[in-house]
Amino acid sequence: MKWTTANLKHPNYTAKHELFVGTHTGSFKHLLPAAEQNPHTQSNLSDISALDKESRVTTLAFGNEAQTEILLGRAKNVAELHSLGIGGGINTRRVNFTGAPIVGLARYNNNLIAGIGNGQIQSLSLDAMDEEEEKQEKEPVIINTGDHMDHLRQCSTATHIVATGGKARQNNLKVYDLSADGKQIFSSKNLPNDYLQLEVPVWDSDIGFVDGPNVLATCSRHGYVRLYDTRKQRRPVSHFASEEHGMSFATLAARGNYIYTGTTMGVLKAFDTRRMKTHVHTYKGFTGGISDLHLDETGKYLSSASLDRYVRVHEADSTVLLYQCYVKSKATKVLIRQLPEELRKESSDDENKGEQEVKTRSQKKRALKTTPLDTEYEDMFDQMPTVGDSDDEAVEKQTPVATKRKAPKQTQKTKKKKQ
Amino acid sequence: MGKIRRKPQPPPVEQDSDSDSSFADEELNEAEKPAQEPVTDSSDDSDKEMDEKPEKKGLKKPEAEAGSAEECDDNDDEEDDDDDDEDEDDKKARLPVLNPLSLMKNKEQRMALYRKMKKEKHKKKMKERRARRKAGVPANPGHTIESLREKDQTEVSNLNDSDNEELRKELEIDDFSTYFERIYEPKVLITFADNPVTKTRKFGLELSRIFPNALVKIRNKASVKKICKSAEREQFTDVVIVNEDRRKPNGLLVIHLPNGPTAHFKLSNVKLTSDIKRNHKEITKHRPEVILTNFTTRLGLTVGRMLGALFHHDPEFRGRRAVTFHNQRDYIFFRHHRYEFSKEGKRVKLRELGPRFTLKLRSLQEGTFDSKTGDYAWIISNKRHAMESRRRFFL
Repeated sequence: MKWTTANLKHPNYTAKHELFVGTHTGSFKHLLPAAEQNPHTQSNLSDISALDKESRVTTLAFGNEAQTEILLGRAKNVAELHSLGIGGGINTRRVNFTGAPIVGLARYNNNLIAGIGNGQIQSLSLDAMDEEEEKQEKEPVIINTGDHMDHLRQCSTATHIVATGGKARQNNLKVYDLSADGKQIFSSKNLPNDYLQLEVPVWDSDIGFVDGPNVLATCSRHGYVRLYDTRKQRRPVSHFASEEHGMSFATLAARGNYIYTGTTMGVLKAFDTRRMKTHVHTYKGFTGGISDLHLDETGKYLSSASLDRYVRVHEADSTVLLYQCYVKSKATKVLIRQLPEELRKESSDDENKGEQEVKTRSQKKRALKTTPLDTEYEDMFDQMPTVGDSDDEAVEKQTPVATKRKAPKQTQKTKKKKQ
Repeated sequence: MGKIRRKPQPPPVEQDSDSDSSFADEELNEAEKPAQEPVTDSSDDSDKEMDEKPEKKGLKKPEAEAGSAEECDDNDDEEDDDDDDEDEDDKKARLPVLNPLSLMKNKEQRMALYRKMKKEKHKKKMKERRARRKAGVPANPGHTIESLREKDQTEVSNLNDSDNEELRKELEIDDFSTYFERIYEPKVLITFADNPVTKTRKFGLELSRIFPNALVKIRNKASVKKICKSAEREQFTDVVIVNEDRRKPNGLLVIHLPNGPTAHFKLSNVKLTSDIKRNHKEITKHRPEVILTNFTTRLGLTVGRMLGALFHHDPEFRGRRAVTFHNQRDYIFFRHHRYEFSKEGKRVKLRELGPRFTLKLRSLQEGTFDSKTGDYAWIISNKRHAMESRRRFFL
């Protein structure tokens, strides 16, 4: 597709999604690409006038599996819990930590786990906070991982496992088990020295769990993507390094066999874990560095936040840009989720009341298979003769087509003769 | 897009492309036909004519082609069926306009008539113009690349819109907010690539005459990151580094301290004060006024603020100096003038003082200089051809 600065929505983008965006200024936005009328309207979920220089959103995560709670961390020592009600109402709760900035948030057994930029993991119980909120601040439980942290991520399947990574060797990828009192269960080991016997620089700028707590992927601003298997060895099992390209990866999302990474120069690439020699996909449309990636539940849609102030959704397999929206300030974090059923019905009610039937049918279709349907495309395949069923049939079908094509030429010839 | 478009069937007219040649054979035998019946562009006439005497066409080639096509159409229609009348009308409207005078054989008469016609045309035009001016309707400005510019989603038209509440908040808390709140006075460090040639040094010196409170230093092979650190320690607020290539200044790196951003510009068309035959002694020490024009998009706004933040907040109007950063099609033109108002105060005289140069944004990076691992807010270096277009501008 031709590149443009305009807000876009691809006609094939039929999946019902909603997006949550955290920005550099500190605003927290909600976008609804599923809306038919105006898919680019944005609503602020936090008060803009209360923002200051330190309120940049530095982390955004879902707090539970149902994806009804959003954890939001800022460049100051405040974390926010937004619980999304069914009717669209939002409850906000603030929790104070003793460090800043908060680079990763997770929730485990009613404890709020925060990764702090200075390399600490802090854990606060949420029960006691309800009664006496700010007067009697509880001291968080602190685990020291090093002196710098870029990201803390929680495993989505085993919620007691968190992984951290940061700049320099002592802050490399480490995995902690929160159920065992924050015991470190894995720490990665760097690649062997290079041919000059020099240490390979380490900076694990982002981490992703690849389907389960044992396989992890990291990317680096020094230009490598590595895949670790905690059951096998401490060194990466496969890795990609871009010496000549000088790509500096800032963020990563992983699912299945694919690792998606975005660079600081606005290049979004997909790697196949089975063969890490080169990338397999490039996603287009960026003019600024990519600050965050998030995959939807099915893994078919890749949402990205970029410092060029746009939020985009690409189709992961075909790399088609499905949605693009200008969000006014630099987007730093993004979350994508399926629109809950009740909201879906509501939105469809609002938009077109008469077409209730069509809506429900399309929803059923979506439930069956989420790939966007293109009727023209389908028709083309329907019209195609089937190969290999029986040769006679194919020949029969083809012949009328051939005569049709010839027809105009013949008339032309006769005309010439007349002249 | 994945959609397959069916190719439109080629119109029958194009299929008979060789029919022209068949007519070309006949074009010799109608030379005796006089030109007293000039064929106008009104298609009805010509068409009738065609039908009546198809041999006549050889005289005027362009029309002959159109006419022949027309005729073939007619033939087609007759062969198939006669239901395409409306279509035919549409086609007739596309006939080329032919001046009937050009068919006249007598050169003198023809030229006389031509002159007359031209005069009348001119008269008519003038009459229309007078009427328009009387009515007070402005002239049609016509097209320029700028007026045909692709609309940018990020355009900032009016800051005080209710829609721009967030933008106003962002401007309040971004890296330049302290400058616009007048908390500090800018102090600029100007330095060069290693071992600059004389022209580059002179250019740096002239920049220091433009930015108030600027200091020029030879770099002494220090790295940019180190320069930023020590400049911050010495309470500089901006660092400007002039790069050179082939003995000409070709790049300008502007770093805002302490937290960035860093902008990298391509620098071209550098004319020093001496190159435009001026003397640097004309330039006074007064603080200049800064004019930033045409920075319309969100990115342009940031760049404009960045360039503005190199100068002191309060110009000294006594000095009558003005520096201009004018953005046109993503090129930022710098000019430096001294102005003088006439006694009535209606007209203004300008005298250019120099230097002059042109900037083009290459990249805008968050934070202080870190080209390898820093986050870029805007860079299109390796995909320029996919992003750029004649009518798309980023600033």
